[in-house]
Amino acid sequence: MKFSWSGAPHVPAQTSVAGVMQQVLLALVPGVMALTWFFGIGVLIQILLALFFAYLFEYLMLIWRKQPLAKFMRDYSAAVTAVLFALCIPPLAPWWASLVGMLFAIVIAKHLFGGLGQNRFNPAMVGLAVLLISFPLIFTHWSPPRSLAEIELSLAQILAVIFTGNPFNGSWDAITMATPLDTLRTGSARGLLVTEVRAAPVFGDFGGLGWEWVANWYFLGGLWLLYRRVIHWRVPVAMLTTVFILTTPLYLFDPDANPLPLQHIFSGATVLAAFFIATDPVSGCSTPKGQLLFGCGVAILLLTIRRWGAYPDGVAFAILVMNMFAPLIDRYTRPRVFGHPG
Amino acid sequence: MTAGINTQSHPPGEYLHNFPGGVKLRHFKRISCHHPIARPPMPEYLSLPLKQHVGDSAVPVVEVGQAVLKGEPLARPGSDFGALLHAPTSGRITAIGPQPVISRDHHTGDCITLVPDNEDSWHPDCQRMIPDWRHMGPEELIRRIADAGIVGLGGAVFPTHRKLTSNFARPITTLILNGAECEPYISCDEMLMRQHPEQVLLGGQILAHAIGTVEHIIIALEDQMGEVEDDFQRARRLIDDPRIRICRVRTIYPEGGERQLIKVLTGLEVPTGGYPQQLGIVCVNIGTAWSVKRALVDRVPLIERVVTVTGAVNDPRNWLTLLGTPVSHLLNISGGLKPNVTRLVMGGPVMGMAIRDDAISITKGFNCLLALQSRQLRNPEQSMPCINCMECVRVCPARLMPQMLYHSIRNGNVARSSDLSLSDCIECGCCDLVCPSHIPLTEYFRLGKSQLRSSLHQQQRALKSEQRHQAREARLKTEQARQQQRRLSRQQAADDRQQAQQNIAAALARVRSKQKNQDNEK
Ligand code: SF4
Ligand code: SF4
Repeated sequence: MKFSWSGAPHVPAQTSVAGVMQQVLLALVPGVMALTWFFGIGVLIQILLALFFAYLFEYLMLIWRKQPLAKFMRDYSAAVTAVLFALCIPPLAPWWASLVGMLFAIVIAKHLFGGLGQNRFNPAMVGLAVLLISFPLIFTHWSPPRSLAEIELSLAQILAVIFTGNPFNGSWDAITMATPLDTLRTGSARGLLVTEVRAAPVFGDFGGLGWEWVANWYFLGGLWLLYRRVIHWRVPVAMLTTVFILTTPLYLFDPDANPLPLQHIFSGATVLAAFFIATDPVSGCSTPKGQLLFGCGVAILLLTIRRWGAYPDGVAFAILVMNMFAPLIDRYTRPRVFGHPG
Repeated sequence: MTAGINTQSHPPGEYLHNFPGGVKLRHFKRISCHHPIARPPMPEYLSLPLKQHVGDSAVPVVEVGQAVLKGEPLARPGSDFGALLHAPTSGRITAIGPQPVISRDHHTGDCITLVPDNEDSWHPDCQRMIPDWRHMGPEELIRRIADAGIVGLGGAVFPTHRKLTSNFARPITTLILNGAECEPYISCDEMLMRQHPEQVLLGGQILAHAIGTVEHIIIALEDQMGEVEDDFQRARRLIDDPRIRICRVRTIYPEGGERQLIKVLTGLEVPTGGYPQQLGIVCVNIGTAWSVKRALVDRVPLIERVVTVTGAVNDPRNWLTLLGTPVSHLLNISGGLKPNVTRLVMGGPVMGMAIRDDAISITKGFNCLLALQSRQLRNPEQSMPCINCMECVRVCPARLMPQMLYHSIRNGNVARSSDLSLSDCIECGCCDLVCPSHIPLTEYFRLGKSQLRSSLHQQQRALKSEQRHQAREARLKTEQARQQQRRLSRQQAADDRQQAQQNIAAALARVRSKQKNQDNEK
């Protein structure tokens, strides 16, 4: 009797790309719910918009590149890109923000670089960076956290804002509010003491109001991913500790001019970045030491951009810059091979 | 870890170290452990490949038609790196020629076919009394181990007698008996240890005696083999040898690999491209130790081994199988195959070699016959691009960067593959087992190694032809020089001749003019 032949191993791996991506999406659920709770249903609408455009472009590009649709449409990687992107844009951003973002993320950063696994840069962050540079105004339109909202928008009104691009009743001021990071930046630009700035209602106990809770839920999702071994501890730990270590002495030295270390961690997208974005395997480092360096690097750039840059949050740029260095870092941090002299 | 890979602070086995990487696997060993080891009924024929071990093929010393007795040598080592082959039972040689064998590329190899006469009568050499092994010197022991045709039974099939002498400065002080079967399903070593712990220990003592300088004999067991440890402790109390230590190691793949086990027990790393002997260590499989005991106490050369028949067969179990028994025979007596079996494997599911044909027979390195159903097999269609997730890096016991290697091999970049230490890959398959993209990484690494070899080959060829070219150039040059020389010397000679003629002519002229003058004066 004859039998089939192939090289060992004969049994398959128990994981799959789709499985990994599903875990990431699952881990984002608590954070997404918290964000929606604090900033309104607009968050979900942005996610749906981003998903729609992501899959539209994914489909077109796969056809154009003559790739097997069944395999790649089901790997959930476009969904992860879309959701991460949507979580970083304001809930009332116009509908074409997702269109532009996903165009750059899926078409350029992903497929023109060779598709899944080949992208040098994190697609979601490429999309975000393009928006930040080309349409900075969008990012000034963040909704206020739930308890500070003057008026509660109905679903129809939110849709109207998103699809017409015009604030209803004519004024953005009624429905948006500067984010804690923005408040801090403009405050220190005006020469105010951090303590004075922090008296503003957008601040919570240690981060931004609402933001700190969202961060907590992202954190929870991150722990889940660690537990499921979808991500490894090195990047998030390196990143968060670096933020902490760099900001603590500054704060202790001059608490009036420098925000609380926890403030940095619990505002903006720091936690999201630490667990979900900087851990993106494709565009990150792949040696153990390299991952530590990658996390540190993102943290340093993030703080630098927040302190001196002109953008509301530095996550996108910090990560893209580190993406650029990742191959170099990998090259110089290869582990010692077993049995080779140390 | 960096504190010098060759410093050892504890006696081996006292303190357990970790090896890098590794994967926890479901071991499926229990399914084949319900029956004690038994002997199968005699098959209709035995087919004995001449190459069952690392090294050169054996050379037959019998002829077709000849009657042989059980234990009679059938083939002698082709070189001093090889092993003897004995008749597993008495019978008649009916053929010597190509038969299907297990191998990656050749589908057939030379085999001796023996039809048993069912008398099972022993060759007189195997019945002659031999002195107690304690009274033999190491050289005699090693010679007898070689004469018994013993090779590593764990799958490496390295001639055992070659392991026992060391060319290195350091004496061999540690003997490790490896009972940590690293792969799922395989239970032949576990069953052997359960049933004959004292014989295994005795084999270890004989090996230690043959080496001569052993201070520690370490039995490595997996921590999931609970009862086996108790059996061994009991056997150890009986034997009462202070050198023996029984160590339980974690059941994590590939802990049973030689280099990994040495790292765990001693904290030492066998240098790349080197041997355990360099560190004063010899590591042999439990089954090998048992065969040594059988050879030196019971006078039975290596003619049978324990084989686990498991997986999708109806009655999985362990058989003490004669070498040369066809796989189909073993499958039949193990209850036959379950439906949809499309793959037979020699060895375990992770490192085993697929068998194309069930006419293949049991060889010395055949530890497990595993039947897999089609739904258990990996599907190459499912392979996706690498997402650089680093899982493979995390589990690689050689601490390589499998994903980088994969890219370099795909690009045919041999220089980069070798820079990434491809040759240190032990082909353990850990990276495959965790890759979410289902990339056949280990297959790529085998391919890469052949790329390396052929490029080395090419380099050597290029070097050779370069040398040839240079030699030719040099030859041509000397030839030219010689011709030049010859031409010059001819010229010279011609010139000289001319000169001489001129000289002569001048001299004659002078003489003539003198004569003329004289004549004139007259
Ligand atoms: S495990 Fe597979 S997908 Fe992940 S880095 Fe390694 S080769 Fe790439
Ligand atoms: S097969 Fe090679 S590369 Fe893969 S884990 Fe094993 S040693 Fe590492």
